Amino acid sequence: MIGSVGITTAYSMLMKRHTTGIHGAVSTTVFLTVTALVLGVVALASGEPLPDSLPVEPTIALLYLAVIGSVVAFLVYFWLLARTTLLLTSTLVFVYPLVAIITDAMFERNVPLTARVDIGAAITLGGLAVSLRRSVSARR
Amino acid sequence: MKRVGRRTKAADIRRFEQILGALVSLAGVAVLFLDRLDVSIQQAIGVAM
Repeated sequence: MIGSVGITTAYSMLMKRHTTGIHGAVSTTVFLTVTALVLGVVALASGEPLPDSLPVEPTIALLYLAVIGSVVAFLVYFWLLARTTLLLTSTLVFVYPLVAIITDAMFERNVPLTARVDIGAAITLGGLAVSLRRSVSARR
Repeated sequence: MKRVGRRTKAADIRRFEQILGALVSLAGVAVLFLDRLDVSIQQAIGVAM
């Protein structure tokens, strides 16, 4: 988990440094093209056979992930990276699990949210408030 | 000179608060991780990543 946070922060730092002044659409296209090529090679190398016909629900889920979860998300991410501080962008890493759990709860009826999720979310948001409080007041 | 020293101290306090906040947030994500671990290892890994 600490590794994930470290990698995401380092990634945000590199992106902030190298994509400043470049339009978000260009950064997104380059980023997703490289990712698609690498993952395409990995998928081919894994030797998994392609299905004869595409199952409807997984295909819709995949399209959702490709369009909303990748293209739109990275466009917004690069837009945000160009306009906010690295500190603010780095704190996003703590928001992703919350968004994932809330989205999961909206569609997955068999796994209800527990009190522990509420506590975890409160601690996470409290930490974010402490991290960002000063930077917001310092901007005034 | 005095002003610079005061500003540095303020910056140090701000940095400490930012790190403290990040650690608290990380603890919150750890709680979420443990909760999802009860559901499945895949969900827990999803939270951690």
